[in-house]
Amino acid sequence: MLLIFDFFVFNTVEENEYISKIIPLQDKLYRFARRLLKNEEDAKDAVQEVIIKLWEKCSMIDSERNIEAFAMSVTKNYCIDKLRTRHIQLVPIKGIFPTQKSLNPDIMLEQKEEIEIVEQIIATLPAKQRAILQLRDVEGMEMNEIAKVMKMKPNNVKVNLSRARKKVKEKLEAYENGYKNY
Amino acid sequence: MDIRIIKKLLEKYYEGETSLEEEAVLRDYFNNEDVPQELKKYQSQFVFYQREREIEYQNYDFALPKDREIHHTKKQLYWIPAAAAVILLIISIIFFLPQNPFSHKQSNMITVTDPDSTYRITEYALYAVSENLNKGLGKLDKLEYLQEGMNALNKININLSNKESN
Amino acid sequence: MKKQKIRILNTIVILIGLSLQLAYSADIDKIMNKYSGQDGFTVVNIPGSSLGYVFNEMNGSKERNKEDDKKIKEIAKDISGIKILTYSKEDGGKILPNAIYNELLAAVNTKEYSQLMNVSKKDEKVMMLVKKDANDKVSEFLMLTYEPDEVTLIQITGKLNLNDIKDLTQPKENKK
Repeated sequence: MLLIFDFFVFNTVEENEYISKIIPLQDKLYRFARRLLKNEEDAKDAVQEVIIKLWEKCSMIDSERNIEAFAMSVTKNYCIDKLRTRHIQLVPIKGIFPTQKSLNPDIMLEQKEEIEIVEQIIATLPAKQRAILQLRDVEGMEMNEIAKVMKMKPNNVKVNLSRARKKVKEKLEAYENGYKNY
Repeated sequence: MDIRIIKKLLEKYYEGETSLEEEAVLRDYFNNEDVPQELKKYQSQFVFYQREREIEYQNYDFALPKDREIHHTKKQLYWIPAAAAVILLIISIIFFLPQNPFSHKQSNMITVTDPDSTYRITEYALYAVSENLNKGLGKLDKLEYLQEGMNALNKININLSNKESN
Repeated sequence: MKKQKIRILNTIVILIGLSLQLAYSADIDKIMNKYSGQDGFTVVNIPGSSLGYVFNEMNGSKERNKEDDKKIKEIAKDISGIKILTYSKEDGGKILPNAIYNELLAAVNTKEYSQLMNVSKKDEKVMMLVKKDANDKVSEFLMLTYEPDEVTLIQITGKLNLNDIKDLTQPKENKK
């Protein structure tokens, strides 16, 4: 008898609260996972899994706690785990790099190539640095927030951020100067 | 924007010492303004980060997982008081109905089992109905059988109350 | 979790529906029981068992005229129950019979029954209601009558042939 009457649908109060807090974070979580896993499909799976994990743990979150930092932290842990179990370190190769700049540069086109290069350079960085770079330069998180997510000391975060940014700059310069090995 | 300021900020930037506001200045500069040649090499980085900000998840088919074992120890039973409240409401509605199914005024219904009374009362009832049927159809004026039935019923009343007092 | 909640909510909706149903059905049993304890009322119930015994197993009362006997037996053998409620001031009733009549009328005159006859005069009122079964035969019969001194409600359940009942009082000879 009860099977027939499936026309009422409603969430619990807590489900609605949870949904309203988590949905706005999805983009951020996705971008973060994508940076770490270097793969869009994997990143989408990661977000799904993280959302489930967050639901399971949501009764443990009190309202004062920074849900965003917690969500990002869960994402980070999940992705690092996934990276460890990967047999091959994926480095997306999108094409053959030109050995020299073209003589008639269209600025946009030039920038477009370089932007792709930037992405690939970042992909060669170690996971920790990729993560910190993402959290600061893309997501604009404060240093102490990043420290919470990464479970690192703020000073340590700063050091790694500096290293990551410098490495991107150096490798980009190496590319500009036409070196293949970078 | 003064190029010297930008250069200074860039220095801080690569040491990891810029604030979020300062980084916003750099981002804004490299994404919107005409960048001189000497700074061009930095542009792609900031353009890249800006573009990354706009990436969306785009899978908004949001459904909470139901087929997995979820452990909610504290909050999952909140709906029980709500259901209980509704049930109480129903019960109180039933109580206030004119035909209250739960009220127990003592029922004094007399159940007839002896054959004689059974016969008599049945006869009375059938005659009463018959008379009224015919009356409605205009064939009978007198209520003689009805009256006889009434007497029979009264006799039965007296008999029964006599039995009780014995 | 969600499915459980849906089911419980739907059960509640059903309960509401049922309880409303109960509210508006004219349950004659309930009516009879309700009034049986009140002043001025007499309620008599002849169950199917008594009827069955008298009209199917016995050969009817020996005191009666044989022809009457036969007719009544013919009708009564298919009856499964009779209930009679009478109200009169003489029996201790404090309320005007007219008011009682109206009250009972409101209680029984529901959509479960169809009106067979309605007589409404100042000193005499008769309301007859029937309920028919799937084969369009009368399965329940109600008669509510009013006179200045008395109100009567008779319920007969079972297979009834109203024509036969009507013929009971078309006397060709004097019964007494």
